[in-house]
Amino acid sequence: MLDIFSNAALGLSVAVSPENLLFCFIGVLLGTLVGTLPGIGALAGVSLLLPVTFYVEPTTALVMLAGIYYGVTYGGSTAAILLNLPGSSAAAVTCLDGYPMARQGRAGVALFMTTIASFVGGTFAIILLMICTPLLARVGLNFGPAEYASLVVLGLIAASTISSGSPVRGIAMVVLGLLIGTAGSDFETGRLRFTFGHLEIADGISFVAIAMGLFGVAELLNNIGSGARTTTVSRADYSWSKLYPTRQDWRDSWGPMGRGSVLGAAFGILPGTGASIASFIAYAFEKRWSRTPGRFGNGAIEGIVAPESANNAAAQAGFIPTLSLGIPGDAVMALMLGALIIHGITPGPQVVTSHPELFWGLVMSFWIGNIFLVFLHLPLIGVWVRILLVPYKYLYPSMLFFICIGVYSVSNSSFDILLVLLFGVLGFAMLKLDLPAAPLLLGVVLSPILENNLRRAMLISGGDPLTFVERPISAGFLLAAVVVLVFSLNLFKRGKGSQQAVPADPD
Amino acid sequence: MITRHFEPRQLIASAALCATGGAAAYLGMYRYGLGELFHLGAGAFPFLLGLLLVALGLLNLISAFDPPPAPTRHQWFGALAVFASIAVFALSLETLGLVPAVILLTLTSRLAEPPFEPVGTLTLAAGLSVLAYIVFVFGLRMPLEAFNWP
Amino acid sequence: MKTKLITVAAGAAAVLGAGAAQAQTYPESPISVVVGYSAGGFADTVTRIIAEQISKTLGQPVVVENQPGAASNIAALTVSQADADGYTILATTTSVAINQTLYGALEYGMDDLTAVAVPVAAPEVLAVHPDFPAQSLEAFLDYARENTVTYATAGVGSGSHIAAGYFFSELAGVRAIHVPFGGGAPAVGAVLGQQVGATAITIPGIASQFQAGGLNCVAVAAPQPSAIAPDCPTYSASGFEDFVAQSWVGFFVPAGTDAEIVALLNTAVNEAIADPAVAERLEGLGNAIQTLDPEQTTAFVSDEVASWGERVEALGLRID
Repeated sequence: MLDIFSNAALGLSVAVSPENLLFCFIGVLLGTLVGTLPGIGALAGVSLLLPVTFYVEPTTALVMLAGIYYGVTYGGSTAAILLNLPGSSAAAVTCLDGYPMARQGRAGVALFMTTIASFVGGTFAIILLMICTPLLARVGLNFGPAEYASLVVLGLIAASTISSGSPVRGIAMVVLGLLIGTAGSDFETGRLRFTFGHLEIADGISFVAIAMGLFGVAELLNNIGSGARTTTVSRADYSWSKLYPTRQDWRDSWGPMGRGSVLGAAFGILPGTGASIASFIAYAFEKRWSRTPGRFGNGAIEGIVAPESANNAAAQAGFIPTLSLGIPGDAVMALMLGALIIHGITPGPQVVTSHPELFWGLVMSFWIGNIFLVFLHLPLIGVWVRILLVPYKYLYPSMLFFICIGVYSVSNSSFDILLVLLFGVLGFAMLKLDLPAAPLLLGVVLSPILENNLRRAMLISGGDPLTFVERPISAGFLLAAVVVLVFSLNLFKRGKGSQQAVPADPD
Repeated sequence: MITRHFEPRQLIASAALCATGGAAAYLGMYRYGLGELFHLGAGAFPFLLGLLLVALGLLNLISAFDPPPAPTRHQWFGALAVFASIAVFALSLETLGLVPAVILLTLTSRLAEPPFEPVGTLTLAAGLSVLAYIVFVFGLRMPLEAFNWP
Repeated sequence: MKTKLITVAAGAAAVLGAGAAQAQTYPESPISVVVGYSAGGFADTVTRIIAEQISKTLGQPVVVENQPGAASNIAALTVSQADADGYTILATTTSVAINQTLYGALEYGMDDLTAVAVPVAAPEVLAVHPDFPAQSLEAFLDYARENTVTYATAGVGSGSHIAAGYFFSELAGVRAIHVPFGGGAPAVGAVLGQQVGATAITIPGIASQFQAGGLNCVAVAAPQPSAIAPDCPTYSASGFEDFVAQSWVGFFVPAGTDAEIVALLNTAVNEAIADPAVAERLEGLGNAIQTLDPEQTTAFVSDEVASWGERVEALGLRID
């Protein structure tokens, strides 16, 4: 335990050097700005600052790149809450309750609480990072294809009820999402599926295009001509006092934040997979845990704080496999390792011991960066919320522009903008046919993880399906999935009754 | 759970789900290949998911249905204008440049919510163009040309 | 793309018979390099390191753009259709050579591109976990004859997949089951966690594991052992003469580009990689640096297209 304190002190001394503080600030500031623009991800910001990393100390380079990375996860919820424009899978989950909150005039509260939730989630993961990085990294390695496949089965069953309304249509949309997720090159044979001659979707359909089409465009169409405009709230709702959460909001949020943080950190240590599903699972878990599941989807504060804390915990916990094993979870993490290698530092289990100033300096800079982010975000809330005061006739063309350019930026592809159009049409049709969009997105995210790992596991086991029950971790997930399923069938039978707020009737 | 009165949109939803599922199952089986039972091919997943979707489409017919109000004529027209504006932007971004694309997007999309208000709309188009240039070309260095006329 | 305006002016000039003048004044405006992969990937990192340096030599900004998708086919198509004025350069990898045979219907061919330079190449390696029962290539093949072995790669149709698949089935005559992952990192993770027996991967993707002792190198598909894993024998040394497979990063311009411009760019790239600081960075990633003139570059690329094509056909792979 003493070790941790001396290491933390060493890290702090590195992290508070003027240079590192400055680059940390640049990183989180850029990350926040880039993240706030819907659809523009961490890679855009990182590409911009890449040349800088060649000329600064490796620790400084990492501090800055990492700042962009988690700064983007903070910023991503802003457009999701205010305008229903999700740029990532995590932001799509935040839309579910964040946007209804904004329509009720509680946008300020939603933005405030997501900032706090992000901070709590990040902090929790940082503590985890400090105490047990080497241990947890090994746990991640025990996850083979069979474990991932079983985990996704559990996730799908647990989260298939994230939307309110008919369970049949919710499940149908999960299945449709899984189907859409199979589009592109088959992982094993390379066979192009559902591409219809368009190589642009050989790597799968852009998630940002789907999310923006189904959430952003569809909601925009719903507002146009309906006379509803964005909100039914007046200017008075934007007074500063209304921006802050009430005592009840705080009371409702601590539990979900704690559970979200734990779930997010747990998923985050799985390289590559964690961050994309952590927030879905956290949301689904809160909805099941809640005594009033009917409030979810209608502006429940638990529905934003749980996924946001999970998302940020996962983003920070993602550094565990990246730093201690040298296995990056995604492109941005890979870039950070590249920056290390260029400076002659080999990422791997020995980094923590051979370059303690780097590892601990980076970890301590996460604390500082997270504090920077809170102080960057809270004063901006009042500014962001005023976006909603812009007359809708000016707001919606601007939203359309940001949707299109954000989707374009992902791979500089005009084709992806046409996909937004396609998914906008689909989203509008789904809205009018009472088909929920969130389960579809869940299906899209999980589809390749499920299919590829299932088939990989079968390749490895030589075609023996028993592999899924013989491996203990995998078997555990499947057992849990069965338990959840039994619960759900019970829910199913009671039909709509369970959707209503009946405090004395916990699920 | 059986609906009390007939709602054509429920039928449309079911038909769409069944058609999509059927097409996916067909393509999975005949085009992409199912593989073997313990060595699945590229078509196996789409096939299974397609069948599942058909089944769920049929189940949808007997589950509760509570749709929002059907789109008005005004909304149909608005939707058309919005879709057109996205298409115009996609097609003009690389051929004409960022600024013309933004202007076209703004003008087309503003048709969705009459009155058109030429002055306000043009001001908005100009403002968005400047913002777009500053943020995306100058700031984020996206590979886009402000004007790209031949 | 970015340079349409100039392009059109230049095109008009060319019509008037002023092609030579175009080469003399080149470059007059920023040059864009279109990378066929996402920012932060291997090809992108190498390209950015070199682009920064050639921008100094040429006195014009060299802007790196990413157009990822379909194993760099989308970027290759874009550049093949761009104006042949030297202002649009493609940065891609071995994949462009593989894709010519692997993909059924491509809208571009190698005839539509002129190779400018292939400055770096990194060999393919076969690596296993330290606890794996076979730690040499010979032992590995013996083990594979008695047991079912699996090997992870960065994906179907990648150089690693084709080289290793060809080696196992055509050269060594053993059955090894290919388990594709989505990129090199998860493939390394799978062998670290002992989910699979081995991984076939390019050196930059695994260098850190060799240095840290997390994984052991069994064989390297290069003429000489690599500086990253000096103790790792070549395939030739293990009895497989001349089995060489490398992953390279190369720069291409649209076919029809003035030969002087191609030569100018080639020189700029060669000067860039001769810079000690640049060389150090590139070699730190696990690359070998190669200095080829334009003819050697063209010959290198056509050899690569032929040899990868042979391997793809031997494996019966086809994507369409």
